[in-house]
Amino acid sequence: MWNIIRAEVSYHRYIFLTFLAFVPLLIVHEMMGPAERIPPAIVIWMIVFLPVNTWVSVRAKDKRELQYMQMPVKAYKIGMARILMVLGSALASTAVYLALHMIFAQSAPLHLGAFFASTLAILFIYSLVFIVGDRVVGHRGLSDAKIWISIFMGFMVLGNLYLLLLTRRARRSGGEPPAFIRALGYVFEHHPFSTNLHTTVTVCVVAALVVLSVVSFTRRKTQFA
Amino acid sequence: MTKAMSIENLVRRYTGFQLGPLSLELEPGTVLGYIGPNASGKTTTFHCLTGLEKADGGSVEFFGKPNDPEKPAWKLDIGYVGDRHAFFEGWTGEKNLAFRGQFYPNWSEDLARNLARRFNLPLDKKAKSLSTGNRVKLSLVSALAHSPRLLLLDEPTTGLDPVVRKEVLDTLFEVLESGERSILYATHILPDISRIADELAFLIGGKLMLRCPKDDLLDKWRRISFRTRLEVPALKAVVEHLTEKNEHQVISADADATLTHLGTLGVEGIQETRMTIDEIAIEILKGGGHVEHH
Repeated sequence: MWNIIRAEVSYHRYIFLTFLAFVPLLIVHEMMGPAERIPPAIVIWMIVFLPVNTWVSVRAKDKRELQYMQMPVKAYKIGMARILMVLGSALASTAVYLALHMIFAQSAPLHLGAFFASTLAILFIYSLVFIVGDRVVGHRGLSDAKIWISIFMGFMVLGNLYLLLLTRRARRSGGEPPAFIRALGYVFEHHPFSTNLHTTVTVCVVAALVVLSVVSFTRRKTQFA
Repeated sequence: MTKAMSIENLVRRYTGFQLGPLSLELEPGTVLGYIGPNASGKTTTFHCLTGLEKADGGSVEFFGKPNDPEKPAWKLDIGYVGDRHAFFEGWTGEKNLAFRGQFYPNWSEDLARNLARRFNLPLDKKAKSLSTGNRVKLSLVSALAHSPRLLLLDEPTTGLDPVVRKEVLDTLFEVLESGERSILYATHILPDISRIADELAFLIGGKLMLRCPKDDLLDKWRRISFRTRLEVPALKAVVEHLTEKNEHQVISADADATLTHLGTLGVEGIQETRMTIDEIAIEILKGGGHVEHH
C-alpha cells in the first residue's frame, strides 16, 4: 500500500506542491485581518482543495486502479490508499499551515480547529464520492461514474460558493442575513464541533464512512466501463 | 498434479449476454488457444480470471490458490496482458517497470531490460508517447519480467498493423518457446496462436463449444469428396455437405466415422484431403463444433 501511495505522491508531486502553495495565503490572510475572517478563508481553501483533489483522484484513475488491481496487492489496501491520499493532502496542508504559523504568525490565533473540521468535511465528502462512484462503476460503468462524480463535486463547489456569496452580501449590506442563512443559524450554533459529544459523533460518522469507502472499493463489481 | 488453472462453473451475466457456466482446466506447461469470434466472452473470461470483474458464480484457481482479491499471492504466478494497457502515463517505460518490480519478489531487472531489447522497446520514452505497438510490448515485458508460471494473454496484438503484429508475435513466441510455462492465449485470429498451441478451446456465445488437442483436430478433420447418383442420407460427423449434381463434398469432424459410413453406402471416387487448423477453426466457429466426436 505504501508503495502505491509513494508512487501516487511522486506522480502528482507538482499538483500537490502547487496546491500547498495556497496555504501561505491563509497565513497572510490571518496576519492581515481579524480572526473572524479565518473561517471564510478556510471555506475558500476547501473550495480550492475540492476541485484540485478531484482532478488528481479522477484523472486517469481508472487506469491506475486497473493497474493496481492487476498487481499482487490486497484490494482493501488499494481502497485504503485511495482515501489516504485525500487524508494525506489535507494533513500536509495542515502541517504546512502549522509550520508557517509558528514561523511567521505566532501572535495570531491558531485555527487548527478549522483545519481539523475542514479535514473531516473533506474526508466525509470524498468518502461519499468514492462510495457513489464505486456503486455506479458496478452498475453503470466508469464513464458514467466520472459524470456522476463531476456532477456531485460540482454541486459541492457551487454550494460552497453560494453560501460564501450570500454571507458576504449580508455582511456588506449590514442588514439581516438572508432567510436561508438565518435558517442555518441554528445549525451553526449546534455545529458538529459545538460540544465534545458532537465532535465525537462527527469523528465516528466520518470514520465509518472512510471504512465504508474501503469496503465499497473491495465490493466493486467491475473495474471497467 | 496441481493444475495451472482450474475454472469451475464460472458465470458472468450481463443484460443480453451470459458467459458460462464455464469449466476449463489447464495442465502445467500446456499452451491453450482460446478461440472465439468478437463478443463471444473471451475478454470477460480473462477479466473474471484476473479478478478485474467479479463473477456471478463459480470458482477459479491458479496452481491450487483461489483468485481471492484479498489473498493476492496467486497473482505472483501469473502474467497478464489484457485488452487495456494500464501505466503511469507520465512516467517512462523504465520507471513504470521499476514500480511494478517492487511488488514481485521474482522480478528481474536484467530480464526486463533483456526483453525490452529483444522487443526493440524504447524504455526512455514516457508511456503516453508510446505507439500502440510499443504499449503492447511494455505490457508484455511487465507480464514476463517476474517469470510467471502461467501467462494469460488476451488478444495482445489487437490494434496492431500486420508488420508490428508479426514482429511482436515472433519475439514473443521466441521468448515463450524457451520456457516451460502454461499459456492461455485468447484470439479470434487463429494463425496468431496455432503455431504454438497444444490445445484449442472454442468459445461461442459465452459457451465453450469444444476443447481439443490441436493434433486431434488435424488428424480427424478432413474434406472428403465422392460421387453417387443415389440420395445421400445425413452422414456421420459431417458438419458441411455441398452437392453439385452427382458430385459431393463434405467436411467431416471425424474422417474415420464418415468414411466408414460412406463405405456402407457404396459411393464412388472417395478422396480425402487434410485441412489446415485455420480451416478447421473456421468450420467450428461456424457451428461445426457441436458435431459429436467419435
